[in-house]
Amino acid sequence: MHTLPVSLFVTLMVLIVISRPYLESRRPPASLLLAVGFVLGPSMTGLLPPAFLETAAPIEALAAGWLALAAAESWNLADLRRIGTFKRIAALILPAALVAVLVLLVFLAIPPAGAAAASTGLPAVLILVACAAIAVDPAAARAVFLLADRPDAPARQAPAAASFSLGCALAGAALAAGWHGGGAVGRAAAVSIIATILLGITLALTFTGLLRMAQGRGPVLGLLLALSLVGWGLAGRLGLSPLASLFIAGVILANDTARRDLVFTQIRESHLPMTCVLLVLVGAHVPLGRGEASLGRLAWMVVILALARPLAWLFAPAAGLGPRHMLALSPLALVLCIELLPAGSHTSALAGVSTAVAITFVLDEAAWYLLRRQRAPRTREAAV
Amino acid sequence: MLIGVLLALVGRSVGLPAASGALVAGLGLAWSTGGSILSSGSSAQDGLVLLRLIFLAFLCLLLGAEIDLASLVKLRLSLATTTLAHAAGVTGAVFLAGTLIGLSRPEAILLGAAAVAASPAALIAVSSEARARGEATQRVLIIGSLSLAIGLVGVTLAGMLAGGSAPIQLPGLAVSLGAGIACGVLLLIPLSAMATRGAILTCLACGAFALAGLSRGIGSERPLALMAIVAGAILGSFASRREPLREALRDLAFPSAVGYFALTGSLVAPDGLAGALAAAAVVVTARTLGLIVAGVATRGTHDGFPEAVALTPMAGYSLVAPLFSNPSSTDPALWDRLVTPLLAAALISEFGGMIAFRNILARAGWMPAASTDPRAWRRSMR
Repeated sequence: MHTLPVSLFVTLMVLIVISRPYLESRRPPASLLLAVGFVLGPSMTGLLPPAFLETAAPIEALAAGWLALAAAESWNLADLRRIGTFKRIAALILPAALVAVLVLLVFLAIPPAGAAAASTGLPAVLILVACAAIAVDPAAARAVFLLADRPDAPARQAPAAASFSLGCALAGAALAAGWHGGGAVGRAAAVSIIATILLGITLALTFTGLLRMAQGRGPVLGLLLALSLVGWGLAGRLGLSPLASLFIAGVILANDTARRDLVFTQIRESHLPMTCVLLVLVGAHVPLGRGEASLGRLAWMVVILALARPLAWLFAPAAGLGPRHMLALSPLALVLCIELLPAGSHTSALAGVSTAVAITFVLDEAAWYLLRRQRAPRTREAAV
Repeated sequence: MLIGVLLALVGRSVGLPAASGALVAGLGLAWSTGGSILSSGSSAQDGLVLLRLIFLAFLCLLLGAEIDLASLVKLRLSLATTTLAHAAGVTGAVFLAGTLIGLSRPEAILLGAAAVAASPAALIAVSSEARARGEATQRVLIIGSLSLAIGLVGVTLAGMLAGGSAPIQLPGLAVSLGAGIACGVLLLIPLSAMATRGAILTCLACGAFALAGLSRGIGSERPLALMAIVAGAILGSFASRREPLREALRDLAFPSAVGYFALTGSLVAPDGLAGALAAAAVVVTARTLGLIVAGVATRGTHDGFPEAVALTPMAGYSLVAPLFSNPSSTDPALWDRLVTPLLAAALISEFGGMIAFRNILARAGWMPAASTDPRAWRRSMR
């Protein structure tokens, strides 16, 4: 624990650095926070040792659950009915399937050797990359919309489309959770999906009932914190995907028009600190290919996720997301890697996928910053 | 956490402080599972302990931010006199009580020193829930903070007399105070540039995390409350945007109080507590009498009595337990006759003291009048 003061000093310095306009630009510098966590984590300096990361698990669970609730805010049933849910799902299959097939080809061309082959977990790898391909950040899509001078109809619908896309990614994670099994529900994927939905509905309805007793912002915030922690704990106990369960709970709350403002005002206010805490902790988890013996395989996965993914999206306009809206990966994609990475499996190819997703996250965020603003007229300065 | 929130809301609906309900919820969980809900030493328990410390840091940051340094300076003589009188009264009364329950003189002195410290978490949990911010509440918060500092020093000195191992010496306490000041000053830099709630909350979260980690890094969690109070006082007095900062902390007060007290209760191992209840009752009664006598003697019945009752919640257990946490050098009998009754006394005094403070706020008129529009808070969220 003597390393903590050093880590904390670094945290405070980061805080001072990021107090510049970044925090007022509607999206924190996610890559910077991820990098800070990575530098502090066991892969680099070890200032946040594995024992501390285990200790911080409740905080990580709280932050991840919070972001899952927040991601559901833009889920808009009316908008989905207008475009067509099945048409949208069909459009999302293209980037997910393309990325998964390409990664499969890479694994076939450069197979893991020796002991690593036995613990490859290829199906989980493919599901993970497919989910990462469509795990778009609704907050980034909303930021593009808010920063636009004259947002057009697609820009207005982009946050809802991004939320839908992320929901599909989390549904894939629920499938993968069932595949891994190990919980009370067992390995049946269909049972896993149904159980996840039921858990999300139960959480939302219970929370809505308790909300009647809450008078004041403090009690509402307390109930939300309890919802994140309880949802995460229950889902973990049942072998389900916590992110998917809480996302579903968030969708139900987002469509409860009587209480939507009550819930999401608080969620939005605390979204930034939760994102910052989560990214630092997730960054500390990034193994940077500790288990990935082949740099070639890692490089190819990064190329596929960073290049093939956006190209595939260009051929899926029915999904409702343009290049500016779909570029930034959601931080929950990184949490999915940790959720699906079995404990102590650093020799498996899953560790390499986590690294590839983290690198893609950074590259895509850089591209997003370059493309985020619509072209403004020359007479006006674009203010961040 | 969920049960803590539930019981807190239920308690609120019947006029009790939310934190009392949360404490009962935590204790009920610990009792129903026949012991600490997690086995001692597990990483999961470490995680919950860290979360508890972060909640405590938030509460104490709010307490510090609510303190008006101008009032502190203006009333410094009165505050100093009252605090010292309380300390003397409590130490003497609890020392006598300690000898009555069979402690040796050094042990009774330690007990008396520990009993001086008021519980900052309990005080701020109740006052923020009641939105009480007048001069009387200021006095209670300031005296509570000063008594915590006196208690820390007293326990450090008395602990060595009673045969405990001091994980933190007096210079360490001074370092902790300096760390609190440094943290407060460092946080001022980014906070001065921030206007939105999310940005302010991020800063405060980093600050709370830093304080919790620093206290563990120093080697003892005892000074955390004092460090956070000092940091909060600097923020509340020198930040350019004080009101948004205070509002952000006030919104965090309910969940932090519920989380802190629910976790405190649930992490208690109830073995031996039942047997220590009688001794604990003696200690609590003696402490309360000591406070009342000292308060009435210095400020008269009208002002001194409610102020003394408001300071009933005690923080003594968390100051003493680390002195005897090394099993190889601690006499188990000493733990049973000193530390366990102190734990029981702290729990009783926090539960009962919060209710008493709440009643005092209502009866003495220290609370603002109830809003004529109880749903006004909803409009700000639309």
